[in-house]
Amino acid sequence: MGRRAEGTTRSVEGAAPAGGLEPVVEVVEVTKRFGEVVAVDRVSFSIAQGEFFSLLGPSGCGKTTTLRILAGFERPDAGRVLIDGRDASVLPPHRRDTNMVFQSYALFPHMTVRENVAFGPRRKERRRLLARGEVDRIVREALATVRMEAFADRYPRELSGGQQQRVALARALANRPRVLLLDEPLGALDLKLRQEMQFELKRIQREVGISFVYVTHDQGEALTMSDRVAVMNAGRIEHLGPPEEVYERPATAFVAGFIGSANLLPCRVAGLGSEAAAELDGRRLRAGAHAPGCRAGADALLMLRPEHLRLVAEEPSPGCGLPVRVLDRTFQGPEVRFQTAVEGSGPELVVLAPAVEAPALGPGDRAWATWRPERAYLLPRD
Amino acid sequence: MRARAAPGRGAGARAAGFLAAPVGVLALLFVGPIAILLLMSFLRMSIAGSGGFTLDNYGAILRDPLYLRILARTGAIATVAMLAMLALSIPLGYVLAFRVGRLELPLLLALVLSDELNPLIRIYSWRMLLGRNGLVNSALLALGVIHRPIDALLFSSVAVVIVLSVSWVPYVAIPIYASMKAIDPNVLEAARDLGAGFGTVLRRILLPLAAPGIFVSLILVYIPLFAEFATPALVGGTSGYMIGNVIQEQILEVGNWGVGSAMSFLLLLLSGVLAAVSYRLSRLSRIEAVRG
Repeated sequence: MGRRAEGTTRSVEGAAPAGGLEPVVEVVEVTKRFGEVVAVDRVSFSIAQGEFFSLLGPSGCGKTTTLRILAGFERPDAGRVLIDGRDASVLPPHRRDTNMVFQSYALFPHMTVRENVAFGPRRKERRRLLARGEVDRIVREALATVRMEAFADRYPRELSGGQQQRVALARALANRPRVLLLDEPLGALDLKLRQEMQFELKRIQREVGISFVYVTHDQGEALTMSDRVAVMNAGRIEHLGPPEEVYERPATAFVAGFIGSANLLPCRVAGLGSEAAAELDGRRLRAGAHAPGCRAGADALLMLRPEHLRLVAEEPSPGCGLPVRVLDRTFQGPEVRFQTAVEGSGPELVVLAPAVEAPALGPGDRAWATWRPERAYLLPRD
Repeated sequence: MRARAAPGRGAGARAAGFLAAPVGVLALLFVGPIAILLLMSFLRMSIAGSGGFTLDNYGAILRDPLYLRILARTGAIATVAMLAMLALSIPLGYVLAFRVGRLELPLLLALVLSDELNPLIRIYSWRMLLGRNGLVNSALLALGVIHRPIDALLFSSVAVVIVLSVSWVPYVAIPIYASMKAIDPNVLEAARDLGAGFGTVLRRILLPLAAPGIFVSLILVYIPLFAEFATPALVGGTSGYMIGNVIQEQILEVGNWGVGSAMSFLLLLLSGVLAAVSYRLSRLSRIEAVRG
């Protein structure tokens, strides 16, 4: 029943997209330094045709620099960027088959929406990559895709943030890039609009079939939209995989903490058989899976997601629970959040219970926090 | 300008109070002299004294081919100097705003400081550089490029253009720099990203968005250039004589206040027209688009 977490390696092979398709973009061992600071450190991944790929991480982790290397605004100090199998590392931005949506939208303030969207296709027309008369049709289609036809003759300053966002998207799509690069495009929008735009972006991406590389620090956004997520920290990719994998079986403690909230209990690896075991305070605890970096006898962290824990009165079967004392109880609408501490050694455990079945426990009450063993996950301690 | 005080009763009166002093000073020291100038340009003046109104002063200017030639030369010198300054300031503004990083502030200060130099010292330094035994001639002689000093370096309209350009260039470069600084650097990147080479970015994005700064510099520099008299007097010689020198000569040396005033007023009129045209052009270039 136990399983080993697969696909959480940091090797180049692990970075390949699912399916046997030729990748649209390949990033091979790319490094970028700014003075003493290594902004991007030997990063490798590849992106399949039509894939929604996210670079996720805190600010300063190198995700935007990676995107700018893809666009051609920065040159890598080492490594290569291949687009459609051809080395594009030294191509300037205007000679690359990539287009970017900027966080600030970067619309041309002196041009109407129509002129903004036509800017890219006009350049192609000049270089005879596009037949005459095609530009108008392309602009109409791009504006229709983002549902902004009615605003074609407005200036950017006459539009709301969300509308400007759509125009920026249409302008980048009008060039039909091989890959669209998005730099925190929803960052400046308010929450409700941001959620609407997430679905809108997904719809547009399915419609046009172009690969998206999406940079964000918002883990919810990355999980909702992506086919695969690369979690970055200090210039390196710590974990690359589908959203479920990144969430359920994170490769490192950093990833576990950054994606969602997690209880990370310091423990020791007690066994790595078909099912892992952790030792905490002399108790042997069961964990369904473990990260590849775990070594028997080494320090480790037991990851328990708050929503996977339940508070019960009776002692559960051995290895599947810890005795706790409730410290605080907070009603949050759909769920109730219990702040608890493990009896004895004392690490804190957060338990989320659906409001409809939350136990009637309050501060000072004793209980057992229990989990299904396959929901517990063992991580190496850094 | 809007007063910070809460709107309502008294705000208007308070604003009027604030404005009374500057308006008074302007009326006294600016509008007053212009009125006197205008009046004098229409006065008949002779050795016997003044009396009656006449259009002769204007007629004398517009009929005299010498005056018209000097006026044309004044326009040519001002225009060439202005174009030279724009050619220098647009790249300079771009480099300052986007390319120098941490050096931006020191370089900007250097540009401002270059204007702090006393104008007379600056002009005399240029006389030393461009003169018969000046640095430029000596260097060219020493290098064997020429065998006899070039006299035309100094006391020519070329010298006037050079010295005027160097003197005024901060007033062109700084407004252009400021309007470029207001451009989101991502906008330039977006243009490149969409397939525009440097020439297209310059023509379609940078210049239209920097246009307000360019027009401000026209108002600030091009128009005053027409009234220059110190620089042409000191480095221009007879071939660099400008309309400002004529006015100075008419009023201070000949004592013909009528013609001098008429000429000043014509110059003022020309400035007004140029300013209006510049302003109109800046509106056309969507000055508000940059603010929005």
